[in-house]
Amino acid sequence: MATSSAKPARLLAYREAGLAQVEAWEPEVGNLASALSELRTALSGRDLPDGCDVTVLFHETWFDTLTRNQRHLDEWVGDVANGFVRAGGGDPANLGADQSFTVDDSAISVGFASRAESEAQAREDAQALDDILGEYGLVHPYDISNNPDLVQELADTYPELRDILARAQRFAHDESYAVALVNELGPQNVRTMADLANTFGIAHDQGHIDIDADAYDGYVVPLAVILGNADRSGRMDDDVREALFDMDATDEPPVAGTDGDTVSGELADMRYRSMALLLHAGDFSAATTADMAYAIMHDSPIHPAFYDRSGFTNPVFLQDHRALASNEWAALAALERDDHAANLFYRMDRDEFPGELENLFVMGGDPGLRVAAERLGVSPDDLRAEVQQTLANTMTGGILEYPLASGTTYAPETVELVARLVQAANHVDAHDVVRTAMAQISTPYTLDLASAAAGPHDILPPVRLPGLSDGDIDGFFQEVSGSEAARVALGQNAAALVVDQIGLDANAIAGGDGNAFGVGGTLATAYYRELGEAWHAVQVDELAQREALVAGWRSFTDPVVDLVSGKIVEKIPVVNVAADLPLASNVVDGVTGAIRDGINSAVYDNLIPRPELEAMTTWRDAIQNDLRTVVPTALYEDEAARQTLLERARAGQPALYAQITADGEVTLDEFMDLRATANAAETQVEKIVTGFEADMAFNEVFGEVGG
Amino acid sequence: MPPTRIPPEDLAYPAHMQAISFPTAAAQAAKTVCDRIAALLNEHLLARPGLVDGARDGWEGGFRAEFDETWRLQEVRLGALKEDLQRLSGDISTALTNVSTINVQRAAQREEYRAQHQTPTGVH
Repeated sequence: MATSSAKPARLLAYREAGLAQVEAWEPEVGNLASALSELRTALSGRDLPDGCDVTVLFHETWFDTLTRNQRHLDEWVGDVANGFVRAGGGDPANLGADQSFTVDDSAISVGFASRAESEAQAREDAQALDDILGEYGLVHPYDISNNPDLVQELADTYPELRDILARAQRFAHDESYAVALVNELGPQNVRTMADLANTFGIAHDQGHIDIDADAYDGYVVPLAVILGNADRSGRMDDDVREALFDMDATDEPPVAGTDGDTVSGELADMRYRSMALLLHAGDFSAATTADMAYAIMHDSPIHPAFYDRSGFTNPVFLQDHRALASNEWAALAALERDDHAANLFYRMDRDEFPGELENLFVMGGDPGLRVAAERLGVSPDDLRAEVQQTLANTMTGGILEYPLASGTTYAPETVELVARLVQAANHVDAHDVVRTAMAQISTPYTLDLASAAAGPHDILPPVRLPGLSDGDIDGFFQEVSGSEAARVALGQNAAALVVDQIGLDANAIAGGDGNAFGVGGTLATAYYRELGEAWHAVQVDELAQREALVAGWRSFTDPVVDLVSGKIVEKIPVVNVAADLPLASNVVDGVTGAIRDGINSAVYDNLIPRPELEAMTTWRDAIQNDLRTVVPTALYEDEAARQTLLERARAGQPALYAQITADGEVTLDEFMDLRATANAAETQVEKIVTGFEADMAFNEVFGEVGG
Repeated sequence: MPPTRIPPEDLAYPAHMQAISFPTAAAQAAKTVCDRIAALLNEHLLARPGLVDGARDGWEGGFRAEFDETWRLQEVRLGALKEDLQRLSGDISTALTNVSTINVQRAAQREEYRAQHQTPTGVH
């Protein structure tokens, strides 16, 4: 067996340097085309004397070809390098410059070095696929139920298609191959192959394809990889891409001409399922991923038709591919993998309400939860946290991490997106993990939220989040504060804000300037006030919800009779507490047969315990304690402020000063023990605490809840 | 009464004296682009052997042979393209020079023609 050796780091270095050259050529291809085309047009029709005419050949076409060839060759060298590393068991992240690998050639799967050969192979494979696909189009939903022979016949084509796709997958990283293959196949064949993803799924679920044959890994995955690579190349023909998004199957044989209305729901299920399968298995461009997710989340049927024609929904299969339990969850999982796609998804504004970014309202829903739970055979409540975590990850990935990674955190499109998220939060009732995601997303805009909360003032920093009202900000904090983890995150944001602001005025504070920390104090006070009011409102809301529920139950004609008969259990949402109900013998007076007084209250308190409210004084004390660490830390971290306070300690507490400086360094704890530090810090802590107590209408709030 | 000067554009000159109309701006722009790309290719083709040698260090086997053959052809083609662009740039320069030379000659011819056909009273 032939073997090869190489130093992959050298090959990768070649690739990087080579592609840097190619990237310089690529814009020049267009420049040459435009210049030569203009000259050709200008010269055309002129009768010029000898020596004055210029023959302008199509050098731009040749330059374009050679540029593409060079990119192909340089990327191929990189693929070969990666092949060596994979086959040789190396660590791509820790590759020595002279580390050499010797492997069997057959262990390296790459396309051809020559782009022409890659494309020739693609045409050959496209022809082979076309020969098989030529006879098959979409399967009519009726045939899926009533014509098992046809389904079996289609299933029998699976091994042939699988083998061609397995060969095709060898060239999976070769974009020239992938794009040539799909463009050569054309829109109709690509649509048929996409439909077959679902059809093979049905055949798989019905047992027509041996479960060991794994039609998902053997068909769906390679097809999705090829389509994804072709898509990412940017050279996929428009009509091929459109075919992937063609969700209307009513005009295609053998459905066309029949009464499409009766099966339109099933056809939609089939097409959207194909899209979800390919999206989940492939690695499409960010734009295509976002578009597919949008189609699935907005346009697909909310629930499958009565005859569910969705393939790969077998519970055994889904155990290993949980996100495929519903199309919506699969779409979210794809967005979770690609932060850029998630960013594009949340910025989309395509519905009938311009300016309102509709995808942000997904955060108040349970996308695909019910269907996924049905297919997995679990209760929605047991699955909710898992699906919601996927949703939350798409939000942090798309709205926080992608802007951070791309340096666009404060770019206009991002601040617009975050501002709309703050507004949308006011209109949803989100899961706790989503609330936590919202809190995390707000972190880079803590200063803006504080400034907005403090109200317009010339001395305050400008608010970068556009179009927010006081009500938007109040609503955001209140919604987010419904989650304990989110409250923790917001508390951390507040502490970071204080550290930053103290840092700005550290010198003046250390120097005893009574006017120091004016702006910082205002901002911190406003932010803490928002947190306090939101937490207060959440608690009051919980009380109100509980009282409303209890009031509703009291409206039953005779709830105790229902309790005695056991029927009340059906009316109680938390069924499993029935075991804790008061015994019936204790409910009815054994002598008079009358219902004991107060039994209703006992029932309600048993079933819907009164929330244990955190007093605002307790909350304030906790904040105060935090600040007593946060403020000295900020002063300690500022070199000049630290020296000023140490000098004061040397004069005022010489013995303590000598003790803590004996080892040549002063720790934060030692610094905090100094009276000078404590005095400087306490002034600022009191400023914040007193400020937000006053702002929160302290007496009223503390009287209502704390008491 | 002094002789009336006839504006040059009002005279009907013979065809061989007419100025040649040539798309100078488009030609100059194309020449600039050709020169720039040819220089870029020249610089990169000079640097490539160093890159290729780096890749070939310790590289042996079938993939190396495939690379060598593909790069050999590519290098020849890129070199040829560079020369084609230089040639086109040269052709454009020559054409611009020739047009300019001929137009100067023709301007002189027209001046002579106008002098020959000038009359004291007006248009000939």
